[in-house]
Amino acid sequence: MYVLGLSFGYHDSSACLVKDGIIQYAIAEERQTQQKHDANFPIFAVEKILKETRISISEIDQIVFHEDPFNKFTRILTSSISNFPFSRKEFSNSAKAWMGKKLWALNEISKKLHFPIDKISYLNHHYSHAATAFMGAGYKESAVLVIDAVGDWASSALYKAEFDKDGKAQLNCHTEVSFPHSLGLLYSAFTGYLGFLPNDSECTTMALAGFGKPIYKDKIEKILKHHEDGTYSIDQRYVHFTDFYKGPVSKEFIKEFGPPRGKLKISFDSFEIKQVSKEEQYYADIAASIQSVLEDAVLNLVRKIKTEVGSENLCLAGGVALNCVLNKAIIESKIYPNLYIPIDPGDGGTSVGSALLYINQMNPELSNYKYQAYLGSEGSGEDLTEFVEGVNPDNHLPFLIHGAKSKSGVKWKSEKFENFSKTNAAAVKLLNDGKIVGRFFSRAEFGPRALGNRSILMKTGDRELAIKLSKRIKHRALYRPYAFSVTEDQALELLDIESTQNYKWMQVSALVRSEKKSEVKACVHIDGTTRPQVCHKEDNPEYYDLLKQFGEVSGIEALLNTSFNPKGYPIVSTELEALVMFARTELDALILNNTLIWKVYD
Amino acid sequence: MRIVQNIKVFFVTRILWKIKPDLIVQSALNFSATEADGVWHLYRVLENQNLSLEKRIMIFDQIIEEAKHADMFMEVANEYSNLPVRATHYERERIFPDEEVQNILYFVGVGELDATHKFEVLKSHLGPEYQFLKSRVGKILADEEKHVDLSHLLNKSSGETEEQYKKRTVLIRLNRFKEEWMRQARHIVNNISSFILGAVYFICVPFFFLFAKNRLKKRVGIFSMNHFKKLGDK
Repeated sequence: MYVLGLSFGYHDSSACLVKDGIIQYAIAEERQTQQKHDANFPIFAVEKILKETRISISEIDQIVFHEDPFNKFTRILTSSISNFPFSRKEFSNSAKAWMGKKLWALNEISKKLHFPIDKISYLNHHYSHAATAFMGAGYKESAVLVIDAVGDWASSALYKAEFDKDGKAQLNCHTEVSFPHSLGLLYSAFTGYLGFLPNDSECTTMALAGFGKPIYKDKIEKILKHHEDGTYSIDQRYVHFTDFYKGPVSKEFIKEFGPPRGKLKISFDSFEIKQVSKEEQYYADIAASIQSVLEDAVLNLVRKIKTEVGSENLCLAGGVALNCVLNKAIIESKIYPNLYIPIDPGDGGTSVGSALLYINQMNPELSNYKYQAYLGSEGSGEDLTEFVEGVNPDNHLPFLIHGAKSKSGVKWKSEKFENFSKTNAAAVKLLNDGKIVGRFFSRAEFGPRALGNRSILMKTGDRELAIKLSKRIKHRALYRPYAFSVTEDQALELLDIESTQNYKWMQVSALVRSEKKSEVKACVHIDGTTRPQVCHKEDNPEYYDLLKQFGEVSGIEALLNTSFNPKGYPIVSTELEALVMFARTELDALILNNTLIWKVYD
Repeated sequence: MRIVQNIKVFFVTRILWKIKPDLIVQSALNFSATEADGVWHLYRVLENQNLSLEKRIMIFDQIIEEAKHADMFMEVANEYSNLPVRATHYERERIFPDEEVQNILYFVGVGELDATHKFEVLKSHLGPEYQFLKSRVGKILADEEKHVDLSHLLNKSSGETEEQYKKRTVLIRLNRFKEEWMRQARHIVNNISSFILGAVYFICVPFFFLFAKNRLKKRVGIFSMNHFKKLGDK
């Protein structure tokens, strides 16, 4: 039985194909269209899936859409009407967008994919998130907590999930906190206030928080009130959640917190303590305060769900579950001994959860739901050695990314190896010599994190090299830290953690052991933490081998790992995209499956 | 056409941008998105392994240049905005269902030519207050002129006669004209519907807004259905 899950309409569109309970393929539309967080109908993702799995749309038994467009429309309409007579623009624009297109999402699926509408189902947004979290967790029963900006109506939801005696998943909702009270929206509003893109750069707010102290918590708790029942409310006088065209925060907010950061430069550096201006420190303290308030509010919800649902297991989903510092706080609270966060807890992941849940409801016996991260495209597999020999890198010198330095006389060399072990051996030599290497290998990871197969790698102990990576390749601010991948064998030596179970997918930050900091200093944030990927051999044997081989020559089985994407674009999805980034930046070498390409300077 | 374009650009740069400076940011974001869209189409051509190596490398080089242009327009948007800017997204679509390489190249070539004219006019109207934009447009213009030649060269190397080339160009131009006309029509429909919805807002919404206000006061409960549904289910 083939089920296709689809998620689109707000951000991070995706498609997922499940056959008899096993995920065949899951891919974000952004990787096909090169538009970060692309919200459009995932037509290219679906085409890719059908092409690579060699099935036709007529073989699909059911399509499942991740949210209830009708319920969501009532929320949008209610929200715009509630501010009468000051919301004409919101009303008019929402009505046009929804009545013109979004309300007919199911018809759009049917029309674009030539698929009968009676074989299309939908479920509510948070229910999809809950299914995404629970269906892959491997637990028989669990508490499930979903926290995001807003779904149909809910912004947070608490579920009890279990498989019944027939193997059917039962996801029972205990409580929802309704829009406009939203932790995700509040964090995004602060992200906007701090001068970053809301709904995109929340991780930058989290990074900035590392430089501040939460001394403005009291002020923020005037906006976010914790209730005795474990829930929360947001004072709407400070924010524009129902009239978002006016910007994320209100005049009341500005009165309380002062003007937004605007273009004030931030000169913090994740590698060293720097003297910064009072203003910069102020915004860092605000970031630290909202991070701390968020953690308190979520821990209250975790306590609430523990009281109401019980269980030793907690599944977490929704965009807020991407906050790795918050996830660290949940683990450290020890309220739940076991925590599971799906590979993509955000909206992109809901295509996976809804498809898995549908199959379970129809065929409970097909219950092998645990999945790994590498569910995406494989690339073309084209041998590009001849192509590489023909390229003249001097042609590209005027067109390098901002910050990359032009050096004429560069030549590209390439070599194809028999197997991954030999490719890794050659790459290790370059990495150990202080080179920065892009790695495009086999299938891409699903979700926002690069876990070795679409990654940029370098050694962990070289800060100067990390600065080069930030300035001339990734073009990103120095206050944003890097993370590293480490083998399961050395993880506990480097990280101050009790077990490696929550660290496979870079979802939880962890303290680096103080005696080991110097060895990984290029990937430690100012607060002593990192967001590690613990690589297990069974998950990715080729990447594990690379880390092992690097360990043999350097003594440390770890590499700095950051996503393989140019600034403002999604992670590369084809070998040619990888090669373009290699050409436009100061990347020293590139692994394309078993071919190694490197730059040689005259 | 050139006169019409001159009047339009004059009106936009000398009047609209002064009244509403945000529009310059939006224009830059649109230019950036157009360049990025061109890159996306060129990738479709580059992935075609049946093309000669020489042609593919020329396209590879052009992708690198166009990607830089997209970045440069993002820089312009950032320069003129006090807020962080979000890249404009297009709904990507295949211009030609069969993805025929020659058609895409012609399409891109005609686009380059139009862009060159547009940037020439734009540059001539930019005063010193738009120096940052002017310098970027100047650099891009120099590259675009080269691209026009490149597209022509690539197209001619396919073995088509000048006549066939002209015929295809005319067809693509007609296609672009139709698209532009549709865009303008959508714009007009959009404005008319805004007007009608504005009237609906003031006439009908007063009867519902207290209900809406009350609904938003409900904070904790269960608000969503928690099971699968199909269209038509109650």
